[in-house]
Amino acid sequence: MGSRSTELLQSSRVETLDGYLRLQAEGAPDAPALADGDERFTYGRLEESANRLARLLQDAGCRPGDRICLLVSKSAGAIVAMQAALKAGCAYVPIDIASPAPRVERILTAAEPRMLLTAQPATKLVDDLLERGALGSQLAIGSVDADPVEGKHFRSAFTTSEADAFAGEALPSPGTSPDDPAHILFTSGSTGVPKGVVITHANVTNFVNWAVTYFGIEPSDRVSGHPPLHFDLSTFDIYGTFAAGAELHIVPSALNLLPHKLAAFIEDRELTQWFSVPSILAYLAKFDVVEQGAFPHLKRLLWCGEVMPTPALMYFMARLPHVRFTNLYGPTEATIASSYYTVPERPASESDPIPIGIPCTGEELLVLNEQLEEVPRGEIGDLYIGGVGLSPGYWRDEEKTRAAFMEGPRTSGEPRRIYRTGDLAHMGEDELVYFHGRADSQIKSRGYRIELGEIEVALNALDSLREAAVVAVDTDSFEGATICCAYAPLSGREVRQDEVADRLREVLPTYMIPSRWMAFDALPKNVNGKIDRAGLKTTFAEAGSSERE
Amino acid sequence: MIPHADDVTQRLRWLALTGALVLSLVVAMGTLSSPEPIEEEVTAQVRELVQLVLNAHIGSDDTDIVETGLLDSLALVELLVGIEREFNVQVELESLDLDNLRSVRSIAQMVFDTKHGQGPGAVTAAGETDGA
Repeated sequence: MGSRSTELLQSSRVETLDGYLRLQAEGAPDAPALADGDERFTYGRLEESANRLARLLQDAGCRPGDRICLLVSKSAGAIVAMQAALKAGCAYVPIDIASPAPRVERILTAAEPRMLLTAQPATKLVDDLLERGALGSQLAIGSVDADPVEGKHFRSAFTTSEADAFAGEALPSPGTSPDDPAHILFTSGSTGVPKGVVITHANVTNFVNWAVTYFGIEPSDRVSGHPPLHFDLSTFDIYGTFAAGAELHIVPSALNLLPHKLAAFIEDRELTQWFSVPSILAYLAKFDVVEQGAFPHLKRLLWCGEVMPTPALMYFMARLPHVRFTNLYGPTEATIASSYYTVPERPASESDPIPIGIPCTGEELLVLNEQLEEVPRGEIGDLYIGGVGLSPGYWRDEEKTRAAFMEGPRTSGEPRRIYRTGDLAHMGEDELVYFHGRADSQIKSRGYRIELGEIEVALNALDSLREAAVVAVDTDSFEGATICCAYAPLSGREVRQDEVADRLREVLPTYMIPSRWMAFDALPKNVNGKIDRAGLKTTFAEAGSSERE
Repeated sequence: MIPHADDVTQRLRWLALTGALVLSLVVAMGTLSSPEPIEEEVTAQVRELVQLVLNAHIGSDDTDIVETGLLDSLALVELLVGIEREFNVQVELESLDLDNLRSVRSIAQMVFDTKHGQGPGAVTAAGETDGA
């Protein structure tokens, strides 16, 4: 116990996100750090690889404050690249490689990266970007693998094999401050342009240090790495693991389709911690792949990103009585999670709400009215977050930053900054915060945060449609909200739903494509002449329930 | 209220009817002649079903619908339900590998094999995940 608490003490002194790995590499270079497929990395090997790549990046012209875009899926190579970027004093920008080129182009234009790091699976995307002229001629493209990445229009300027020529020992500090950006995460924007949330080193270390202590993560832990890199949740599994000196097991994304094999993965890897969005857990429950007393090594099961359906939670709590279950809550703008609730016992009823709980250390949850005054206990209001997790704001967007981050009610005379989450909540008599959905048209589907406005902007750009509207309908299936599209073709034209979907796929990621469709001659309007979205929601909900088996 | 409600479930039902008809015909023919032409029919039907479930035009029978992110867990569930209705076969998700699901061609092969009592269970031994 003694050595462990010493380590925790040390890791709590880590000020930048490359510090955890360096600390572990110094203290326990031979300890297992990372498992990616059949490949295993010790802390020493991971640190050395990152140091070499960091020197190569510096050699290639990367300077402190530069952005490095990562067009890579979650992998050992990607994690080395993230660490290398930080060691060079740069901020990294992870980008979803399943996103279509026009959307990635908007992110690249906003981020103005010095360098693009990629790997073979993103070859076509990089080619598409080059064809669109989205990558300036100056932008260097490197490979995070030992093999070069080669497309129709490009060949990577370097690979990690070239990095091996550089020294592997620790780099001198680039002078990064804890309040400098560590990464920028782009999320869906209601006007069709993704918003970049700037996250500092201190934002992440504050949460990670709390989480490692609260959950008691130890060097012997084997932690799942499930959320993709462009989700801020992935920073918790990566840095939480490194802070504790534990071992991260990257979950192959292919397993998301195969519930039996995903359960076998948890079992075979002897995972002690699982952390993901709830939808994948609900998928496991739906196919009933968890046996009574399964996953004997599992100690804790954590979820974040959306509401876990209570029946799914009851399913897991019945089968895994040896596991601790914790709900985490928080938007990207407040870094990973801001509140937590460890479920004390199996809910009695499928309709029991699971609270989002109480603030993590250094964070604050406030339920306020329109005048930013606290609402009485039990009453629903707007949920605001304050404290150490708050992002400095949106990347190069003062206007959006001012609209979401504001000065909150003073306590003891001190001004404090708060973030308007857009979520509705109430404070219970039990001092726990309860979630009540959204105040706007942002939704969560399979853990993805989606602004319905972004989909409507894309629909309105189609020349075959007169008008279109997108609504979300809650279904009791495992995927969360179902995105529904009502559209009216230009008069005299017939437009099939799959034609519309195919056009949307050219500009939006697949998770934003509506799954239910209705064609109208003209969309229904309310008394003000506006599209009757509430009515459409009812129409879709009724059509759905009457057709369910 | 619903002018052209064009829902997956409704179309699936229609497909299930015609599918069962076509299939029983094909199976009847297949038992008389060689089994070769069946696969073409199955492929055509699977292509239709996959396009319906994914709400997408699939350019080629070899298009990788997993890598491109078209097939997600929700679509997979709908696909399995569709296969069950249309072909009257029960495909066990447990016995499936990603390679069974990658393309119209591989799904058609899996349906064909399952229909002929040599389901993908036989294929999986070599294709286990890297979980070991």
